[in-house]
Amino acid sequence: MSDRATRVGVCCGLLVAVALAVCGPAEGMSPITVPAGIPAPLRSVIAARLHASPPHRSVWVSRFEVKAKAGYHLVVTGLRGVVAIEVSKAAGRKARRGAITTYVAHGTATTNRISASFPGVGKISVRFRPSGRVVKSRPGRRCRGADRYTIRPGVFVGRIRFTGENRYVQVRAKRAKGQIRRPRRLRCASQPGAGARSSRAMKDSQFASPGVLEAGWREPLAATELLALRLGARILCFASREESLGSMAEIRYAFAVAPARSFTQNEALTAAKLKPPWPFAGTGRYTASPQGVRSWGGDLRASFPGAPGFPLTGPEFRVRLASGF
Amino acid sequence: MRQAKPVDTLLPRRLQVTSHGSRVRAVGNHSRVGSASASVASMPVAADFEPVADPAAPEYRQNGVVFILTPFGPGRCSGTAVNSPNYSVVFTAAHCIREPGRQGEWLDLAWVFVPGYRYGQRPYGVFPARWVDTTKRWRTIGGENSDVGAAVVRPNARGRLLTKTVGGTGIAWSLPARQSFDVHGYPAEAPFNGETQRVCRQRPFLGHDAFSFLIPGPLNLAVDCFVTGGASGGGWTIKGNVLNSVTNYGYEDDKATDFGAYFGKEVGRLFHRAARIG
Repeated sequence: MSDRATRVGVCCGLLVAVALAVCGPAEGMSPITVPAGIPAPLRSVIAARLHASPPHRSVWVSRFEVKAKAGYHLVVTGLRGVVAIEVSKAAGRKARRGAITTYVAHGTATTNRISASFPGVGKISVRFRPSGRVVKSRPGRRCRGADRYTIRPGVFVGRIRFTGENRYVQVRAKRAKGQIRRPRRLRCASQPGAGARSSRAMKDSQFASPGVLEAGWREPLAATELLALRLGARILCFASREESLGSMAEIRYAFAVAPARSFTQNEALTAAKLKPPWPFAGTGRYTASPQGVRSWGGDLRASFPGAPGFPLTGPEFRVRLASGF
Repeated sequence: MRQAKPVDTLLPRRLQVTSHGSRVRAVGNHSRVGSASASVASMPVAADFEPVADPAAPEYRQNGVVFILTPFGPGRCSGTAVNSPNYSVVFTAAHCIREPGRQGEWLDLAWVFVPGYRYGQRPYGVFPARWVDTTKRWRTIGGENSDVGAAVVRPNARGRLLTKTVGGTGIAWSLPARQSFDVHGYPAEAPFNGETQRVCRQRPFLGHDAFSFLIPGPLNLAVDCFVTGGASGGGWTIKGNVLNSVTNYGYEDDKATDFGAYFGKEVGRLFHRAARIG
């Protein structure tokens, strides 16, 4: 679970640790990978928020991509009977902001076929035709012997239909380039956890008073979560919305790394303001009375694919504000 | 054994029922706040999981408490006696028997079923397990969609077989998800104390948890019933007395919704394996 910070210029190792401490451990074995469009250091956070753990390393994954208009990008993944259409929109290639909606249904996902129906938003029914050379991945650093994936490129041919809610994106295709990735004789040591390392001195900056604001609202078959973490000069703002809709689930998330001024609080922790950039808009305001009554209001909202302007404040949210010393 | 804690909160990585919410995050000790008065009015509350008048009565005594001793300490769940040719089958949640996945540990250092349990009393005695198993998918992959387990128990101290003593429910699998369920269980965490049996009556199927879509296996079932730790494994019966699901988990920030596994073919195979134990 502990990804190393690579690109995001904040102290992401600590950020992830803090986030996981906030989120709790991920559980279950989800075949849905956290989208590649999300910066690596944030994937652990998002996986934890979505209850998703990394995919099991001993299963194959079928996947193809389709580009759509208005900056949307579709990735279709099939794994162990679970089919997901991931629709993403990023602010730019190296952006630290983005929004993704994943539509998940149970269907057929074999090594040569992906088929599933997503009521009201789309349908996928394709077969895999291999083409090109099989690519073998490089061995991992912690692995002895063969630790490789075989990536078989090819074309998925058949019916690819997707419109999304209210036709916010329209994809009609008969073929798309993709791949099937299979594992080969994996014998990898597990990554040593932070606790296994010997002690080391901590720099002052690592104690830079992290601030956390979290708000959530759970209904029987849906949940909305908001997390803002401030560490040093940056904040991470992450929102998710998951909803079960009959024979399909929609899981949306939006994230932004922004300057620290986007998330301010007073010293007494009785008031805070959150105003993150796109894909968020508006402002969320936290207040707490001396009696401990907390409120979370304002017009903060997230623009998820298929659900623009989704509200992230309101009296139904439970909210918590915390800060280090 | 009376000091046993619910298995749900006992295991380090346990996420069923009360600790399941921690998988999402620890929201804190907030009370649920309704967004609209209408939804608040219809929201299940603890009182909806009503105590039965007498857990030892014929219509309730098939349900009981499962006390277990695990490598992590003592624990408790709920379970249901099911009619079978060997008169000895108990159904519960798989996480009351074993941790998920190939590396999971069996939680059966000691495993006993106490049907009709009430206020520390064991009106029909104690039935220790002699065989336990879970769905194959739970043993190999894990995932809450497959969180169903079964035990075959020995006779009680008087030498009487389980369902010859307390009777048993029927069991059905591969039925449509859209059923009305009576949810039984012995919730042991606040506001309950685990000392008597409770039931949510005639709860309609609400849908599937979004999380259920992310993992292989049949999609799980949601009903509105306020559950806490210890209720895991409690039987969901339909049509009077036919077992068709067991309680798996709930969320810390929405205890008003109970999630149970769909009984599909794999549960049928589990039942047949248990029923064959002589």
